[in-house]
Amino acid sequence: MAKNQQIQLVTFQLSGEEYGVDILRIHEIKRLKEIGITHVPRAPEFVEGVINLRGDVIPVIDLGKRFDLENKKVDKETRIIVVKQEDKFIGLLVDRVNEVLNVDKEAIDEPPREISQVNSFFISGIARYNERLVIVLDIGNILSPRENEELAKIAR
Amino acid sequence: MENIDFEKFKKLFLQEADEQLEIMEKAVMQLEENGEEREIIDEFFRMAHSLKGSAGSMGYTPIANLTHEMENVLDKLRNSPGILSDDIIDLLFISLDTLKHLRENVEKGLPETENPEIDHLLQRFGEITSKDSEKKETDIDKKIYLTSQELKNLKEKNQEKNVFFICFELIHQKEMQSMVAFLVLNNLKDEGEIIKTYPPHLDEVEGDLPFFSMLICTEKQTDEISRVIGQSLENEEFKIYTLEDIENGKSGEYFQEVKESFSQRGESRESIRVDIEKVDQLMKLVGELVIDKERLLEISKGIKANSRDNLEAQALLQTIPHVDFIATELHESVMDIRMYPVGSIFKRFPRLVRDISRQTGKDVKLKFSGEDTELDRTILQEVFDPLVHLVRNAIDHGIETPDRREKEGKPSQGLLALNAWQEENNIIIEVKDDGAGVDPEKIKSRALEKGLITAKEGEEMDSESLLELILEPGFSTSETVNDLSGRGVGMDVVRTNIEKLDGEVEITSQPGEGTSIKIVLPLTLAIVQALMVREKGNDYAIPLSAIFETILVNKNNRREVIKTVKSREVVTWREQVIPLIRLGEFFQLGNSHEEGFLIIGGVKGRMVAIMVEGVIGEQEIVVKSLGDFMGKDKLFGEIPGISGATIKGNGEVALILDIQGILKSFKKGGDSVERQSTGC
Repeated sequence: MAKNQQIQLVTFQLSGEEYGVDILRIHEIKRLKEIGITHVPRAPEFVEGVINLRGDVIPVIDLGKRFDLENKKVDKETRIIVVKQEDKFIGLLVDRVNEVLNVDKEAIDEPPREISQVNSFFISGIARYNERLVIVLDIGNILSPRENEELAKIAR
Repeated sequence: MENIDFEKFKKLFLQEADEQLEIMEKAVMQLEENGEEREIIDEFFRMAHSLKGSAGSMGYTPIANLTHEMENVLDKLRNSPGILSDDIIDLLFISLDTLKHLRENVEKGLPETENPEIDHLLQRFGEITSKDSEKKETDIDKKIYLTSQELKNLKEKNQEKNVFFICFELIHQKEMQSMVAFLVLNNLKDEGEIIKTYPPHLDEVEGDLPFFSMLICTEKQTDEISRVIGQSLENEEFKIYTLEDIENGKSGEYFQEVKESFSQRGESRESIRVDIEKVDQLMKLVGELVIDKERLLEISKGIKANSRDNLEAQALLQTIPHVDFIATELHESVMDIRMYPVGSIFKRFPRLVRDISRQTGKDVKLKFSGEDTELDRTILQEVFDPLVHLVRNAIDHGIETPDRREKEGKPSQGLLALNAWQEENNIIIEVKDDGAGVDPEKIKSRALEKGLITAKEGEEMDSESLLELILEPGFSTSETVNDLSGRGVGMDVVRTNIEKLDGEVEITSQPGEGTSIKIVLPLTLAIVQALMVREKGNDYAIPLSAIFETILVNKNNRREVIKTVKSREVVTWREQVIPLIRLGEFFQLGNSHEEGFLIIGGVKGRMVAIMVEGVIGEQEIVVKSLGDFMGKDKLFGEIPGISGATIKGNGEVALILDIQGILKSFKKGGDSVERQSTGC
């Protein structure tokens, strides 16, 4: 089993569906209860607020709101996944972090058009793991301007 | 390992190249202005020579080749006075630009590619130098260079001892010349202190050495020194000059004082180069320390109340003020490291002004004052582009053509001044010209035309507010659009950039006499005094610099303090009627409260009263940005009323209120109340 044929996905729960992010993208995972999020008034709705990441101020976005999903209330399972995108850090608020999966690259398919409630612009693929389907997110697109999203819709 | 060393040398090379290029550029400018000046050509030559040397040893062949040709031309200038032409000046300018470009490629690690431009330059240089193919041995490097400071030290030594400058020329002895030099040097070492020699490491030189010289400080007299030299030299020429001779110029070409103004390296104060990232890192750490210090002070308040009998707690309480003191001192010291003289950006302007003047056919003299004024490095970097824009505008739109100026009875050469000075906690940088000035009436009609103001507003505005319209987006008074300025963007960008730095732009102008644009900047951005306030469970910081007074509002005085005018709430403060903004409403946090505190603040004479639930107290805060995603032109956009964030003692983030931003977005929300007259 050649290792380079696999990627490691950190999977998490969001509005009942399982998502995954390449572990290399992830900087750290924090419990929401441990850190205080400071609300930023008049920021876009999906911006949950800002947190202190070792002296730097970084925003936290509510992935559920970003994807227009049904909102789950914050509880003790709620986590902030801090990801790195082109040297910039951002926190993603998710319902629960599940586990780390070793997934064969071959087992990741191109995103079909209507697989989930989430706009396929945010999805880089669907990973099959045993009986599970994990939606692999495209962090770059999640953090790209809304206009790109619209353009992508039109292109389809 | 080798790679690490190479990277280190490369960095050093780049830094030195920057300095050398800068000095060379200054030299060309001076040559252009003052004509051939031996000292300047010499300095130029030295810089080209050392750049050639370091480029050669690093293997940057194109740079070495180009500087080599520059050297040749400069040498030619020295040997045949009177041949300096505009052509040569232009060629030198182009070469410097090319060198800068090559230097950048080195920095980016780009491979050296075929560059036809360089070949062309080399060819043109070749044409100039080959006009007289007889090349003379250069004597420039035979000199001993001393900075003014070193010379001063020598003069002090000369009070008690003798300082001699001795030049040797070996005419008869043709072999083992370096050996002779070594012997002379060794003998003289016993007689006194050898201060400097040419060549610099005289005792290590091998081979031919027909000429050498040294500077010695000794208690002996001239004849004794002559005798000592005679022991190791037979029938050879040498001359001994005293310090007085040197000062009277008798030692001729073999000795030179280096003017401080030309080479900043001559400073006798010791300094080291530090990577700016390290300073930034240091600053960040100090920032953290200041946060923890504030936290300690907060905790100590709690301890004080609870533990009068606990000795350890008392000891802790005694230590904390000291930590407070040290943290503050440390902060100031690090801030001081970050301070840069404004001159460091001013010196980039002569070239720019020259180029713009040429393009626009204007004749402009550039003057500086206050180059030593210091400003935080970060601010200084951000201020350069706006300054460039202002300078362009001043030459393009302000200063008239020489013909026009003469008709107006002005000297044909226009004057552009870059001035800097400190006023309390602000640094002011002024761009001032003696050009046509700005006509408020012209601005009014242009603003009406562009729909920036209504006719009624235009009537009411005084000339000062009319001038400020220049800073509005989409305003441009120039009738022609060109490369330099006048594209309708620009002045508003200048203002936006300066406001981002917490600064202001002020314009004054006198038609026919000139314009002055002042950029008013805070000394530093990193750590400021702030008032912490609370609203709906959130803490906000307001910079003290924007606060005039805090007023408690309760049941008793509520009706007196807060009035309603035209269904808007206002506060009368020192006979001024100022608009009231409830922070909770402004930030859409929920229902308003009837009691709390009014923070009377203002920027640029525009006042506002901000109502908050509670005041926590004054505190030093470390100013941080809202990160890479929030702010103008960033993904999540600008957050109105918030200029940044800081970290509280408990590690949580508090947002910093932007009074100016609040005023702005409040104004947009409806009619401003600020022009209401007083006695209502």
